[in-house]
Amino acid sequence: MPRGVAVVAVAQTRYESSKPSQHLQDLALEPVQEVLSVSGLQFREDGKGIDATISCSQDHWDGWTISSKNIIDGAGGHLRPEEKVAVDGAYALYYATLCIMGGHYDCVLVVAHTKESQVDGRLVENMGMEPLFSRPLGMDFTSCAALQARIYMRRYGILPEQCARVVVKSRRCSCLNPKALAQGSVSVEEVLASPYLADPIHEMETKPVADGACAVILAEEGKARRWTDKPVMIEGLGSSYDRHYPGYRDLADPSALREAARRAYAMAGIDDPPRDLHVVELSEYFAYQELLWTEGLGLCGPGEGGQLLDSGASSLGGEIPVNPSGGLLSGVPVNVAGLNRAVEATLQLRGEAGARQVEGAERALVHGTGGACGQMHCVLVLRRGW
Amino acid sequence: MDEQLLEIIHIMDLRYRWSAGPHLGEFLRGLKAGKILANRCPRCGRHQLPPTPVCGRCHVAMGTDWVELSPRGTVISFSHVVDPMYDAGIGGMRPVPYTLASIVLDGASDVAFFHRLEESTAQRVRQGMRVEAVFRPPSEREGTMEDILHFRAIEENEKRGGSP
Amino acid sequence: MPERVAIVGIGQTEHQYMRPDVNHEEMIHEAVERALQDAEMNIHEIDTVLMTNMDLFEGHYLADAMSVDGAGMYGRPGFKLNTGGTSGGTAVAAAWHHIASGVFETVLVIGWQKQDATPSIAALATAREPFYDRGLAAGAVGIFASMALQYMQEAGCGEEPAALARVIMADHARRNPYSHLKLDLTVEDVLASRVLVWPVRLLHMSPTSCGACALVLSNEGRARRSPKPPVWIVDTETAHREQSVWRGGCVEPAPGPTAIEVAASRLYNRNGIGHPSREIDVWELYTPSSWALLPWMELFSICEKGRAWRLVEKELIRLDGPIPIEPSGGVVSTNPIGASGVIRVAEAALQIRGEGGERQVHKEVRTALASAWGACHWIVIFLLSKDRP
Repeated sequence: MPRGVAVVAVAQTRYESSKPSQHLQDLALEPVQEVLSVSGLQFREDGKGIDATISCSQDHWDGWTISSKNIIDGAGGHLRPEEKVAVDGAYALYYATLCIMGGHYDCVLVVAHTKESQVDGRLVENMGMEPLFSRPLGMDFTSCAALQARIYMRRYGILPEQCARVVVKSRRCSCLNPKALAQGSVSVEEVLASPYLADPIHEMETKPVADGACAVILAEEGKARRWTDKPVMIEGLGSSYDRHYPGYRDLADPSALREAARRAYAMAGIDDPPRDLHVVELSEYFAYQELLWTEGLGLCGPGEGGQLLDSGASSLGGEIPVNPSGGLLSGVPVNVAGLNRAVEATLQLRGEAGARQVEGAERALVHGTGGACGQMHCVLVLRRGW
Repeated sequence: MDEQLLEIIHIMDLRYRWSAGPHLGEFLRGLKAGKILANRCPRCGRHQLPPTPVCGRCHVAMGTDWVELSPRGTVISFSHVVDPMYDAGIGGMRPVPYTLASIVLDGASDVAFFHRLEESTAQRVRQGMRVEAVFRPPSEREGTMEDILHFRAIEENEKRGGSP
Repeated sequence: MPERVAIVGIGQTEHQYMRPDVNHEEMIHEAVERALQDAEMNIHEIDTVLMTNMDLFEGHYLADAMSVDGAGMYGRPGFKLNTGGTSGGTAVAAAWHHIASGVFETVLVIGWQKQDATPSIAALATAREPFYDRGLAAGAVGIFASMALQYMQEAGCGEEPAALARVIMADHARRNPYSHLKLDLTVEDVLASRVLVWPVRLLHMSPTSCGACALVLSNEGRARRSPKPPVWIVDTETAHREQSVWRGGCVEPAPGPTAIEVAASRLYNRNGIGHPSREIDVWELYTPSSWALLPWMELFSICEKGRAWRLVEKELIRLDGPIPIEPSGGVVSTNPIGASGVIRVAEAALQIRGEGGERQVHKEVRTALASAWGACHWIVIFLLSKDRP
């Protein structure tokens, strides 16, 4: 019988378009101090506290080789283990869960930070493309996403208005989320009137530049139950890579996401995702991705993402609310994105999500992704543990 | 096969705008005012140089216990650097040679401060040598480590009154 | 009960200064193919793939995503880690946790670096706090210079022992077909080489190398079907240090315990190792400078404080000696950074298998210790054994 793993505490900063008053270490320290304070746990060697830290950040975004180095003091790394996952934050949670299942650690702090505002992110993402074949063409994650959006929309008759309604839905939710980069409600017309970044993707259909950090404390089930009345169990996890060059992939078929979800569902014993899940926090860097990812997660069939949205099922108050937090479109930095999904899912399962609460949510899905057109995906299933 | 097509040069120019944050920011403001400031861990009392938001050992948040350190100190280690080193601040190679020193400032024996030594000081440097920070004129200071031009040797009889 | 973890496949490239003949993905593929062949497995028998390198060095953002085909990651779970010089160690530790969890039976772990892509010294310069010491510091060499000065003062030795250690590592490297540098050196050669930061000379330091190393790890059930005897990873320990470069580097006025001492003593205590030099048969330490070897032998409790240089002077660390260290030639002979930590584990495992070829140590090897070092004096350590734990 594998060891149970549960979320003990979560914290996040407010997300802002820039945080000029904070050094990267200040930024990461803020949610770390909060999870320590709410859980009452400390970094200890006697098994009565946090055994290890797993962080998530990226050298290119930080402009700092070994980017976890600049937060090591705040992350409790002195004479203790710290390991940095250099992809999305959902993977940091995934890895921390495996570490605890393996028995070497009982309690792990997971922390992710990024200040997107300090560098030109499109240049960073251009460096994520093949150097001789794709970079010289001006390919980055936005221009590739535009190609993906067009293929997807054409194949299934997804309308620009449906993509715009994803933004409308997210902004409505982000107004209910005090941590969100506040942007106010918008209309379909306003979204479609915003300038194109790369046709057919409008500026307002793109995740805004954001700075922020979040932290999660995970523990082995027995300890977690002693440390919190509301442990949130990690029931399933899975991840998968697709190929790099977008030309090799059927961009309208998120096969890596389906594979990651299949693994997570199998572990959690989920056979009917829309029935078995009560809330979904997924990582949409662009509006169309919410529709495409709901298909990949099996919340609806291929090409039915638009209908799922139109039916209201994925809205707050619907049968399977997607991104009641406002999602990435409300402004969450890369790397932090996947861990922030877990923070939001935990708040939902605990009934602590305030105005964005999904009533009676017992099981949540957390999704993180990375690379151009969602090349890699990570899925976790969380469940109320009391 | 045309060997020349096997390698292609790309120039990547990523520019970063860093935030110093409140603690390092205070230190840099101090430099601009001609002072070397440190904060102290409220638990272990160590000087934090550069000032940090948290003590790496005790993991407690720093308070507002700011201390102005003496510009004078003792060289505990040094090196004549002759191998050119990339300078990310200017995006090019740093001129060599220069002499880097590890200096324990008076009154803060728990942490060493790094800076360069003035040329004639560098020529006769030894461990234990007494040195003093030479700041640039106030009008030339920008709130960076370069506000200190270098450290230069001092004789014990140069000591100002009041020092032990 | 966690699953036991075994190394069942080992593969590495011939490490070189430049690899203009391949791109990074093709280079990774060479190591992966060799590891799979060694394990007599095909990629479909691999459950998950973990990768590490230092991202900024090649100018590739999400370098794992860019290497999926060559790494065999397509359709598989996995991710990338990066902790600096310790990266390779961190990735092997991550693979260890993956197997122990019981979720995966087999893990392919890959470390690589292709340093012909960019001037890595420029990337290394960004390891420092941008406001404080990025404008002053002298890179990794400065750290070893202060380490060397401190060691000479405390142990009372001169420049010769570190030079002799470098000669011994070069002698080992010439017997290792995968080694980047295969130099034929004398102590005089080392002492005549250019000073970088005194007392560290060019020949004391590791080269910049291109290369990849891959390991296949498996659980006990799968290891029983392995064609070669499994090498068990008994235990691992990781420790970091606060940002000590901020506090004056290795010449802290009041230094606390080092991460190496702390991590090694935890590992030894958990595994009942009272006399490391007698109970561990071979050492693959991650010494990026031959100057680091002297203090580290003491921090790893291979000998008493102040004694390491005398053991080196007596050449006891040679592969035919009683305390063989870096039989591969070590990081000073080969340093594709992201791979270096994986190589240490791989080379230690080859010694336990008895497959060291010309670099096989002369005494019987049942246990080995491998480590990876980097960043702010961070360390990851592995205890390997021929005997099932």
